[in-house]
Amino acid sequence: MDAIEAIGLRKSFRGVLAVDDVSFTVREGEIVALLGPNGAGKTTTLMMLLGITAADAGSVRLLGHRLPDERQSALQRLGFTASYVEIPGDMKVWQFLDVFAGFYGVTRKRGEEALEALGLGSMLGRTGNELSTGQRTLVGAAKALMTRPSILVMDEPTASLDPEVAERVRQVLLAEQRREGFAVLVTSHNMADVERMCERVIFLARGRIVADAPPAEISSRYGTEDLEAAFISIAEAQR
Amino acid sequence: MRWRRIFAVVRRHWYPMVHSAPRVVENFFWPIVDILLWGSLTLYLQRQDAELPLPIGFLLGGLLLWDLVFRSKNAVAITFIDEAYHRNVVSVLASPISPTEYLGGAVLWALAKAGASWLLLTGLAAGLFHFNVLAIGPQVGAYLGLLLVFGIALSLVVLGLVLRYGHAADELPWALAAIFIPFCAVFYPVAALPGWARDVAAVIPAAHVFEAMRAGLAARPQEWGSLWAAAGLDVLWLAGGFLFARSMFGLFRRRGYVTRYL
Repeated sequence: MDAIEAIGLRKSFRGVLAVDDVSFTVREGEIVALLGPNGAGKTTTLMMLLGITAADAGSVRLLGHRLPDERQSALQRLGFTASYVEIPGDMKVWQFLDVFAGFYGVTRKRGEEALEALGLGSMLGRTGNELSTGQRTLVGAAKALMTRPSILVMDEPTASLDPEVAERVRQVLLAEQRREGFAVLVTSHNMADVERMCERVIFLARGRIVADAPPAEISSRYGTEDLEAAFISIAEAQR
Repeated sequence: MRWRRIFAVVRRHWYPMVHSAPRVVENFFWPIVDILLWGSLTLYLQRQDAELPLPIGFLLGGLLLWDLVFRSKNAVAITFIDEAYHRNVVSVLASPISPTEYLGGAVLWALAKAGASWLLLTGLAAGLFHFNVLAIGPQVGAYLGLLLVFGIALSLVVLGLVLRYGHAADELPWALAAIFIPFCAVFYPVAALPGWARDVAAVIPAAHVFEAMRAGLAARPQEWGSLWAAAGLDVLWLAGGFLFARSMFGLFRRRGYVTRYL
């Protein structure tokens, strides 16, 4: 069974096509990047996968659960974090985890264990305002991991982090992925990250999939040395 | 529907309040200002020995009951605005909580907040101005219930508008009270309104409740017709508010308004 199955997703906003006939799958345990220049349709695609934005056409299945009818069962096993997701500044970390533990029907202890695994066990009593950007990102990751998800969806998880903290976040998430074996769908503008982390890259441009292959294959297909150069080449070709 | 998720919404808004003095003050400050203002006016009028068509308590009675509408109306929409302000909307929407469960939690939280501030108001009215809320009549429980339901119905309308218009509608929870209060006839009889406004008041449950309250205070026979009208209108407003909020959430999903919160 595929962890994520998207078939023929299409979405337009006020007549402008944002996502056009996007189909892909992510296998259980697979780490896949969704790449593309700004406005390529990555976040719209993610929002449709999460059932937050309704597709004009197409279908989504998460772990075999069809959206939107079985959205609750699907999201129960899906962790989500993003650079734009924050712990409210006036909540303590343990309170934030407690609330989401309630939403997901798990114990708060699971959240505390996830936080411990991410090296932030001592931060439970701090409020969001007292955390650095990197620490807030890790708390968001702990929130996503505390459900022991089968799918982890991350939208630009290391954006706005300095390279050292971004590397730590990446290492921790990869270690968790190896231990738990969940599927990962991640968007990122950091091509080096993607090359290191991901087995496969789905490249979106102008709302369409223009490439779907392992990073090395994409580089070789576009005759570039690395994924970043391939990204630039694809983005320029689509302008 | 999972109670665990509903109570998680309540905790989401309770936790920040526990260690935030401004949030606590916000819930109690304006009610206290209102009671001091209207209570003092009531005392002043009482001392003038003026001829009034109603017992002077209608001012404080009106205030005590209106505050409940105002607080319950605000609290539900503000829970969502609060999520937006703290960039927590996407996390909530990406979790398994359903819109109905979220709404249930927001309503519970609204009732708790409105109830706490109302108890304080009632205590102050009794302690400072010798106004016993039971002087309104034994039906006060029915009045409170009817007004709470109307407040919740209004809050669903506000929530729908916030979902539709995003941050541009953040001020609506407060503005809507200003729009409704003249037609609710909180401090004067509906008969004092011009003809067209009386027609508007006729479809507002609160206007019927305040009419009944004034009858009770004046020791006139209880206006059961007013209460039944309020109950019927409450059902219509609640159903309309729910359908409106649900339809705006559908629009939110179709038009991808979530991007406002990224």
